[in-house]
Amino acid sequence: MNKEFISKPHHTKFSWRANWSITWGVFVQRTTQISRYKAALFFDIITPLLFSVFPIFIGISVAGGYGNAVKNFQSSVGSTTANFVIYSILGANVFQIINGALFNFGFFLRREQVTGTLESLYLAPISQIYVLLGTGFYAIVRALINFFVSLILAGLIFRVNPFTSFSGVMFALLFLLVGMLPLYGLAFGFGALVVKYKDMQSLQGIISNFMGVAMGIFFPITLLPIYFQVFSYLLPPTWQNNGIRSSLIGTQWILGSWYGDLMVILALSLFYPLVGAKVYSMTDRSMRKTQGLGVF
Amino acid sequence: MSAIISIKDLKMTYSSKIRKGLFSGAETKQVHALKSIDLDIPEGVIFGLLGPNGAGKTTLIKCLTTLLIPTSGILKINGYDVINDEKQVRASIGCMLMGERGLYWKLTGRENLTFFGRLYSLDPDFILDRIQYLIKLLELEEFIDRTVESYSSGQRMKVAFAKALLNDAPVIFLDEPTIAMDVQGARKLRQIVKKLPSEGKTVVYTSHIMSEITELCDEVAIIDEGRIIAKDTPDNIKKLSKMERSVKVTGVISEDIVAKLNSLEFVKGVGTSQTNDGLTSLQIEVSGDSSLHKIMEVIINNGGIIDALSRSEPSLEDVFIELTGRSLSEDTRK
Repeated sequence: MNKEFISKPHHTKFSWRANWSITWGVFVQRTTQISRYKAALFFDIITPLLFSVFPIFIGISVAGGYGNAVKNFQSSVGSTTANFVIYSILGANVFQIINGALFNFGFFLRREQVTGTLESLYLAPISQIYVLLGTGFYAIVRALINFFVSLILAGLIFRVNPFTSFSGVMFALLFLLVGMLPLYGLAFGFGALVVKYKDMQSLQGIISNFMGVAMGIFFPITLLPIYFQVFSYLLPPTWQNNGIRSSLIGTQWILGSWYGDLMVILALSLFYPLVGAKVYSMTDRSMRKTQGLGVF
Repeated sequence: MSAIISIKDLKMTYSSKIRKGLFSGAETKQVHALKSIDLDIPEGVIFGLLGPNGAGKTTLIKCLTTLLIPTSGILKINGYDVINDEKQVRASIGCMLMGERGLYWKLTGRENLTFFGRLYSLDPDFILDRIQYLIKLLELEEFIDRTVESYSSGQRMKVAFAKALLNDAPVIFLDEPTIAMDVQGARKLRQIVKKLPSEGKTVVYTSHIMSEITELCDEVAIIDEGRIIAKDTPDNIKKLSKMERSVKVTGVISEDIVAKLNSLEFVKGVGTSQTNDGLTSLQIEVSGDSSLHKIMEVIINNGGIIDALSRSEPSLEDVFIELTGRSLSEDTRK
């Protein structure tokens, strides 16, 4: 019978400071990596710009001129000041945020699985939450930079000014940031499923397009069939997108006031990250009990 | 004696889908990857795991390194329970399991090592010193500051090996570490691995290259179909073979010497033949505890001259074939 083994010392320091150092390390690592894909950074910025060209010109074409397009649009959204060009640009930018949340955060586990580094991450003596936080921090910073640079460029190209008031910009930033929490929670849940069920490309396409339609990417969601609106109100980007638009161009708040809409986002912020974490923990355990994380 | 790695009744069963075609759906099948493994690995040894593809080597290593959760059994590494003390276990091990795939290709080798040092919550000064030490030890200077994508396979394997040594852990898992390396690189790696036990490290080493296992390992376990079928030192495992061992001697050897050799206790028989250049060639069949020294002594003391001498003995592969009826190069995945 063997006697109890006396553990030999190791060099890992388990502390809060070390945990935050992991988060920072992951942020630095992801940022360094993406800095070597300069074309990807450029495409991230111009994609929403190109995407918003479609509704703007379709709107003008269908309405029979810019003036008619503005008039029809303002009657649709119930505002006499809202600019439909900025409205479309904002929709395209929030749509890009959904794509970023899915691709840069939600599906990062899957990408690590395919490149072979997921097992390396799992061999580290840490809680994966700090890796997730670092990745989330990186994805959010990237999304924010993309959002504002793309918005400024679109403003210059289409000769519109989305930043007419300081308070509007601050409110937009608030909705943009707070809206990231439930969106990233949701994206993470989908991402965890993809690690098990593998099919990343098609899932990303269907989820982002569904959320794009549901949030009213280029139109008010009141135009959607009523049963579809139920999905809209359950999804974080709907509130985030509407909050940003209401803050910057004065369209209506869904619940009539900014704080009502903000409360909903906060409630979703509690719900979706928990759902994402639960799905992740179930998937993680199921994978490690069967084929393993490295099987791709 | 205490074991730094202790495995009791380890079982791993999972279900796998068998695809039958485009419209036929899939059938679920239970795979018993590990069937009651018991194994103790003492501290400070190089322990070899040998077995064909699909035998359960990788599953066993993945269970030990926390990447898989076993169906049942007790696993301890460095005194920590692998299931309940995951973080302590991970802090106690260094791993090279995925070969060159475990690195970020858009980062440099140094950036990779720094990142993984952070993930292991190592002290920043320790990380810097350790990376410098490993760069020197593994001769990485030339390419460590280039992105990994520009490396050769061998260079990637070297950095992956450096990653396994980065946290200076008491237990190191090396799964086919020389697989993509050139001859020199592989030799260098083996030299480093050989020295690890003297630093108090325990190494678990898998390889398909028999000579590597024989050269490096203090103990070897042979795994087949999820079971350990033999575990001992390489020499003792070879003794399990019923294959004849023989010593071949060429030289000036008289019939009198042949008779004396025949009378040695461990000699089962001696065959003689003449070479083209007039020398005598002996094929001496010997039992397991043969002594080359004794054979040489008998020849030389009786006026013989040895021109060449060689011994043939069963390899670990031969033992595996005898025990299982299959070759180690077979794929036994079901």
